[in-house]
Amino acid sequence: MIDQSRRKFLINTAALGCSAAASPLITPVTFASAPWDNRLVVIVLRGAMDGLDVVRPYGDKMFAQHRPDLAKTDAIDLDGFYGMHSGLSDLAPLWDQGQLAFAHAVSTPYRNKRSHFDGQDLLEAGYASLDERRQLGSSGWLNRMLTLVPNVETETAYAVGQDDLLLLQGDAPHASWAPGRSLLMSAQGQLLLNRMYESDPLFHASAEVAIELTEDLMAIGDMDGMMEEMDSMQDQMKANNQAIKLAKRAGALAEFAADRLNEDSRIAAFSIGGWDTHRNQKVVIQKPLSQLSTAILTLREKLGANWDKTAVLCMTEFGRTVRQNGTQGTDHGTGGAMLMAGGAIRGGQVYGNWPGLADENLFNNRDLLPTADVRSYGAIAMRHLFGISPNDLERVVFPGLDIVDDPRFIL
Amino acid sequence: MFRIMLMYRETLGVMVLQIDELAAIRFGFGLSPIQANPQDANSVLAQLDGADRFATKFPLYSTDQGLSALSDFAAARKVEKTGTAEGAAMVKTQKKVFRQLSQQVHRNLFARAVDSTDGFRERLAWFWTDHFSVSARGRKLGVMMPTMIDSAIRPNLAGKFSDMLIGVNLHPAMLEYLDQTSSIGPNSNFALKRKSKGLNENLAREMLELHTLGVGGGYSQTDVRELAELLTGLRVNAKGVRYNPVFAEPGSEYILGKSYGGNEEELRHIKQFMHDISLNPNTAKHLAQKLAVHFISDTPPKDLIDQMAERYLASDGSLYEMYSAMLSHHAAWESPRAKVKQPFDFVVSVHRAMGATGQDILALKRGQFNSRTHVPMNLMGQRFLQPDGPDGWPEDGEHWITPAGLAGRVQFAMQMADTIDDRVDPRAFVVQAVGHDASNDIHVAAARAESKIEGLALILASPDFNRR
Repeated sequence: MIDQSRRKFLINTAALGCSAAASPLITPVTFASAPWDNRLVVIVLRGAMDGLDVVRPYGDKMFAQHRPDLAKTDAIDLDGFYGMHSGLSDLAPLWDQGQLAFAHAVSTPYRNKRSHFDGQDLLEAGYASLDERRQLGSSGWLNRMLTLVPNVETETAYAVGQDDLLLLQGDAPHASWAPGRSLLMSAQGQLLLNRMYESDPLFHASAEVAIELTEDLMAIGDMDGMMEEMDSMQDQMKANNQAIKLAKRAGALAEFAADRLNEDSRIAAFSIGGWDTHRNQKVVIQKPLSQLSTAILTLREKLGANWDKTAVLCMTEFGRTVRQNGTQGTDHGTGGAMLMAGGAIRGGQVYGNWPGLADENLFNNRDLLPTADVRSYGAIAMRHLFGISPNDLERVVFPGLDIVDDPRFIL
Repeated sequence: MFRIMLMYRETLGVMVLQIDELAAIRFGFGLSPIQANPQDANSVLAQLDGADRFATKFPLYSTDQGLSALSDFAAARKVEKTGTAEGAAMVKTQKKVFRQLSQQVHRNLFARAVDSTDGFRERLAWFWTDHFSVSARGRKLGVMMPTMIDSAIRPNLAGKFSDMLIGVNLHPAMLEYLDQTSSIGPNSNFALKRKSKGLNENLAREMLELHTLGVGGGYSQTDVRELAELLTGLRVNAKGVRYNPVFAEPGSEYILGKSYGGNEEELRHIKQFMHDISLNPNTAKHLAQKLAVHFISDTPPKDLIDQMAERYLASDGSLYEMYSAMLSHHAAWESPRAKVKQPFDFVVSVHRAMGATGQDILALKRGQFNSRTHVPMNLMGQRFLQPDGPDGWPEDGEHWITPAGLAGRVQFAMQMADTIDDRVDPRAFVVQAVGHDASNDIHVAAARAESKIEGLALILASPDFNRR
């Protein structure tokens, strides 16, 4: 690991220059062209989206007991049993048109440790365990799928955004593009920062205002090249209005992805963070929800007729605790939900087997019990969209996965 | 040993900082995964032995080169005044030369600090550069100030303080900065011909107050005045510092109970004074106090100061002996992280924690270099090479950890975390960057951050990493 941090430093010194020159903002989208007409967009929801808040099983009588406060806020009824968080209300028309669906009680095979990094690592690598991930090396499942397809070109798949998505890393060629690097710290990051500063009186005294100022500074985005002219704090503040622009970051990622998918690209991946809602979830979850909603609506709008051939899969590393915690939030859990959208989706349904929320049905007496492997949804999507054989899917793309039943969520 | 520490961690939630890590953090520019830490006081001190390898590896332009660039510029300006296109072009070319010189200096100074395995030497070079603060503002000082480092400070880091004192105070940058170049003996031959000019006490006062005795170091206004008269005759021309008796105040000067000069106005009298004052007990105490405050704590124990001053005086003003006394005192190895890293230290130590080398710094494109070095330093409240006055940068943490200063640090942490390899696990980076005594809060923050970038940023923004 000694050499790794160094290597990236070197790599970035070479790579940052051109992207910085190309755009004042920098966040990465991952893309991949291929010999098909269907499109797949994978959005990684970093920070562990609370599936139980986004798709609420209010038909389960235990739900309101576990979450006396969180269950009370507004939701949009989906099918009498599930309701959708009002933060996604702009997506309601898609549900009505059969272009929006969810899968509930899903998870990766990751269990018990509940670390974001490990969880995201496994979600993107697509392996059955962290041990396997260590043995088989660092490639992502989207990339391994591409290795099965002849004549894949660089443009076939695109990684869009700030983080180099593991999802598309590996032997198959792919492109990446960063339309703007957002350096905004998430609510969870700010919370952890504050907690560190609390125990140091000197830092604590300045922390609160500093974190507000940091948001303003970070709103400027990438510093390379731009900062030369900004000498004082006041100049920084002038750039404040860029924060508003960055709030539309997810939309910008989606727009770029759609542009590429309308050309030669067939696969795009990016991530939306901010889901780690340990505290004051009612407020904190609004931001990532609106980013997610903006991203999907932008894809639909910009893809035009191609939207009908598109499936969008939004996956997170794990779910959150069934019971709300003492700070109006939820902690790291296991089973969660995924969101699917697009004209290629058989929408208007919540897929999956509901395990129930009675205490005896919970995983470790705290989490939603996963009843399906979230990887199987990825596998089935690739099978129907791109014609990848079940054999390849179970051996190469998701080694060891057993695709038992096909819920037929792809048209 | 390691097992015992692990037990500590489980029982108390606190780990003890290892001596080698403390040595690298307190007496160097921080931990680097590609460098071994000095093991103890002796190996810290041993970094001062031998040639100044990192000054050679990352060279700066010389004092003479700086002076000749300035005189070329003056010549170009003269031609420009004739109104010809040629003159304008010459000025433009010279301005480009200045920009190149400034880039070279900035890059190599950062590269040294990031790259050096002699961390104590690097930190001392900055300590003394700050002790003899000259702000690199304006064209003249911008060009000349950096040349003071390699010509007067680094060659004398571990030698006699008097050599450094003399070197610095006979350097064009210091004479220019503290107005010595416009100080003229009131009864000098020059002044007798044009009545308008006279004495400027600035350098004399700062030499006593800042460079040697310290404020309250037992000197009077008369001493300042007499020293100012002694210093007259020091001039700067295109070839450097010259002593010109035409400007010198005639007669002897009586300073701190001793008479200097006489019938002959000569440079050696000035040097003699600087040598004498370097051995004044108040100078010894002042230097010891400043060193201990800079390296160890804002309130160093009195016996530490006394021992450092004693060893210094007993060795005829050897800085090496003063450092040795500091490093062999138990206070040097206690109460870690009492000091806040100044922005330069912070920026350098972030690069080191990432495993960057001096070559990496040189390889950065111009915009990248700026955005990773002096630009974020401005936001943190420290203009690179441009302290506000001759008293240098403040030592107290309260000065640096303000809302704006801290915001600059958090922002820089996010910016740099974004350039670290994704395969670096924040949970492992805690110890690599901070050391084995990292507080439990940092471990928790690193493990619970929702992305790797944030995890790494939180580590770099932590109080522990920002202290030394």
